[in-house]
Amino acid sequence: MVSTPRRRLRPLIAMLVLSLLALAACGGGDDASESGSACAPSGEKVTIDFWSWVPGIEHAVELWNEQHPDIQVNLSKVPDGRAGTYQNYNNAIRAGRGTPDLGMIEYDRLPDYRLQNALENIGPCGAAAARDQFVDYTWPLVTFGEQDAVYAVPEDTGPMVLYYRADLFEQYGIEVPRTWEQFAQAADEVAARGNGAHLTNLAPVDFGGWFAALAWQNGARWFDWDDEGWTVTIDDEPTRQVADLWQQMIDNGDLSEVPTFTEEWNRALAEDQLLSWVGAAWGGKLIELGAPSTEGKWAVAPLPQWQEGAQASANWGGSTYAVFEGSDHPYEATQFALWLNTHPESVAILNEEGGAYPAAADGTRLPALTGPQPFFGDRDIYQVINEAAGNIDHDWVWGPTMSTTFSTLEDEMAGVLDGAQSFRDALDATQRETVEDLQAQSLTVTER
Amino acid sequence: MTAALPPAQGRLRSLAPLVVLTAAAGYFLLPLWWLFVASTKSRGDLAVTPGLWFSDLALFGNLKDLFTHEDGVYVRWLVNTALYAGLGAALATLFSAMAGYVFAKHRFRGREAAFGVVLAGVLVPPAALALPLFLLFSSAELTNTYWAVLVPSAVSPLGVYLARVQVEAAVPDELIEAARMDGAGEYRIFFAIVLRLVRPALVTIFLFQSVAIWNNFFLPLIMLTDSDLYPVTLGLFSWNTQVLGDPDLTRLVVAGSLVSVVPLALAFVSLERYWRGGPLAGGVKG
Amino acid sequence: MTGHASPAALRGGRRRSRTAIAGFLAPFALLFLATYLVPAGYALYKSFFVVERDGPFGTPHDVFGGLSNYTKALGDSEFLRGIGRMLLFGVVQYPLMVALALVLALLLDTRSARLQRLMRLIYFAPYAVPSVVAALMWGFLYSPGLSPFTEGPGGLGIDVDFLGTHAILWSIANVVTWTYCGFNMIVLVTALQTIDRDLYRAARVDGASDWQIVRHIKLPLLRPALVLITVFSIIGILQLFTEPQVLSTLTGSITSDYTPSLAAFNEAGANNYSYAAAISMILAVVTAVLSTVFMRIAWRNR
Repeated sequence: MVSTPRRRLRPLIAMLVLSLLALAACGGGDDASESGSACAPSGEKVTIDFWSWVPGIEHAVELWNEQHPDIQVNLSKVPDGRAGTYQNYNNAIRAGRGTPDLGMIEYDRLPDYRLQNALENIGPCGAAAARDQFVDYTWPLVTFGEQDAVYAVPEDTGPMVLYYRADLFEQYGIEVPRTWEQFAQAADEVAARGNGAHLTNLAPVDFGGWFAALAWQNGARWFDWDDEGWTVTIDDEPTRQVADLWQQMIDNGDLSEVPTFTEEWNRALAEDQLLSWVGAAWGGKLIELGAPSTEGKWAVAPLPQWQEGAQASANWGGSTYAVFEGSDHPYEATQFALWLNTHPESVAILNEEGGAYPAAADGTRLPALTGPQPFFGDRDIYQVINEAAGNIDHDWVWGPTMSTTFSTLEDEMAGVLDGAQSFRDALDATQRETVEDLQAQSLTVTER
Repeated sequence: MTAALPPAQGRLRSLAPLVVLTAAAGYFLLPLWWLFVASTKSRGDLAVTPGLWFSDLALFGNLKDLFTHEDGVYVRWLVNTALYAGLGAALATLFSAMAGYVFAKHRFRGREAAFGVVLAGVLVPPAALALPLFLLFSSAELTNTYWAVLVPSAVSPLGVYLARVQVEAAVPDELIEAARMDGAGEYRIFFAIVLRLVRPALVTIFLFQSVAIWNNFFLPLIMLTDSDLYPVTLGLFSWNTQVLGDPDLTRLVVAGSLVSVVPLALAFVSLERYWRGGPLAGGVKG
Repeated sequence: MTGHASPAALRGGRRRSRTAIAGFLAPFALLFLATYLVPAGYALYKSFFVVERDGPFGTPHDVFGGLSNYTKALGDSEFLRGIGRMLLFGVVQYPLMVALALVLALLLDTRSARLQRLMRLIYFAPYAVPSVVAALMWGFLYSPGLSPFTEGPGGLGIDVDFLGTHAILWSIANVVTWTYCGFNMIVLVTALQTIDRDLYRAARVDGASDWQIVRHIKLPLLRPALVLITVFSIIGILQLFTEPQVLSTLTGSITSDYTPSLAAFNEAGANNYSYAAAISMILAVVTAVLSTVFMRIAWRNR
């Protein structure tokens, strides 16, 4: 390349600086109007921009649009949040425009947006009054325990249970484990056969939310906050207890390393290589479509317990709909969100086509979610799931930077499965990096 | 070339390279073969039957579902893709040729510095450019429009570089001088003489840029939210991220992938005959 | 790497041609400014900022933070390891890919036009396959329980975990080779076609063998094309992103900071844009230095 006297570059640099200034000026649009009483109905015909990635949701939106000519919903089917939509929210928040009126956000991501002050308090818009229409434990997750505040409407949940192959359990002579100790023992017994089958699988893909739920079940509490700031305790005692159990199974070579939700997992299920799955309510459909040849052979039991006779479960996954700050129609958006997630027809569509296990308290009465399930050998699996939903601790709090926490945990787990470090090391590293990330976000982390 | 050799030895000599070439073809085709086979299978067979051979034929059902899912949005994605890759690459080619011609044949202050900046443009990873690009388009209220993908697609630093190299190699100064003597204007010189002489380079730039646009789902991902505007790659990506809600989508993603490869293959075949002795031949000049 | 100044430049009609220059340059220049320079400038600018809030729960905003993002990045062992990993990747994958492309190009050069056209099409095809699709295909062929090479249905039973921590870098290398080898081969084939066939004839009359023709005529004349390919590869490898990104859904071996570009992407996704920008700037500098050094060396030993 040729070096040129600096002055020749001057016009170029001047132009660059000018356009940069323009860009910097338009970037910081966070002084949005604080219209406090925004919850009044607008009284005229409005259109709501709505982003979601639930398959089949367009049919529920069509239904609403037919029934509500004055509140038309304009749906954008976007990619899964972690695959790009969360970043698109972030970009739009930075730009000060372009966020939808109503957007899909998973529970664990809500605090992130709340802390960007990007969510409208829709409590006054009718959401606070709708509290009783939703499953209890979802409420603290969308209100953050703030007085008179609601920041999102729950869509679906994922109470955790144990999916297992009734036929194979019998064939292998295994009792359905009631405790985690029994579970680990069963894992050892299955692996001891040496025929390539395993009780279950563990892989660092899609691992974070799953592991958090298991810690949640044991009474762990990774995050908390008060007026001073945040406390982070990802390496607390209950979590370590969970980690130690899985460490033991890893060390004994009792687990398959097939990543869940992949075609490989489907094959392992279909070929009788996996006897069970510690999964959530929305997972039954995944097994049904992924391994159709196993029809009639599956059953569902409550999650194994840490104390014999206990009944604790936890929640894995699930999503909410939040009204973004700056929306012109928070009232109408809230009305739609409440309808979408409580109206029986809509809830049925989201369940049928999108695999969502409803967060609406009445959702459990859907015909599809009651009575014998053909794929599960005519067992009434949703009764078990329903009970699990009633046994979930309400005190769990998600942290403000869960993407970092989960990706760190998953990165570290790769080393754990390789034997390069222990599960406890992974927890320590996740704790450390999460604290660092909170601090990088200028959030105060207080000592425990 | 082997005619001078004794027949037996000649046959052996020409056979060995043929084996290598065929083996390489197998390597490049293997995954595509898998894709073809997979798109003929039902959801349940996908994971449990041998990947490289057929099981029960479900191809037509898969294709029907592909073209009717979400009111046939897939067809729209194909049309959008043709628009982005076709129009975007056409504009990029024209603009690159114009700029490349100036860099090759006109002297102006800061020319080499500016050219260096153009080449340096490819050094910053796209991950860092996504947010500012979005902010820029957002301030112009152009996000979630066709423009948000078309405008960035019409820029190709590589194209400018190739055009410059090719103009320097294929357009003699004397020709331009002579045309100028005859009273031809600059625009006439460019469109009537220069463009004609560098046509192979234009085909190359067009092809490379359309493949680049076609492959770049990152840009549409940050710019577009309305799935009616998606190119086919982003559409398939989006479906693929939703398989946890509806595992049956996998079938459509596989069939959609197969169908999506076809148009580009056709485009390539049809352009291939115009594409001789490309501009890359000149390579980098000292 | 600049051309020679053109003597044709403009004696008559200076003003007219100035307008013409501006007219010809403007579309590209404006678009380049808007889609490359300004965003890159913004990234550079933001890389000096850090996040601050008023109070524990205030709205975040950016304040000037000097070089702190840079010192953080340079002290981040995972980021540095990512760069090291890309260098290792380049040292192994690049020569293999170019050697394969070169062999194929040289072999094709002496074949009939029909075979040449067919093979060019086949070899180039992977380049046209979108990365999402490529990952889908290779993901299947790599997954231990599905792969026809390992223990998948009807598989060969080879005992390699393509997606494990040890093999994954080379599995990515294979996808990259598969995708770009044809592209590089086409570059070389087109370069070979411009060589005057009389040169070969003359060499043959002098008694040169096929190998000698390759060694003393073809390779030296391919040099410019090889330099071009190498510069593309240096940039492409250091910015390696899509292949590991899409394969990461199948394996935990690809961590969120496995490559520097992946790290930048994930940091940006986690709302640490300034840090992502700093990472990207360091990466851009490394890329620029390596490309420049390479070109210096390549043109010095001519």
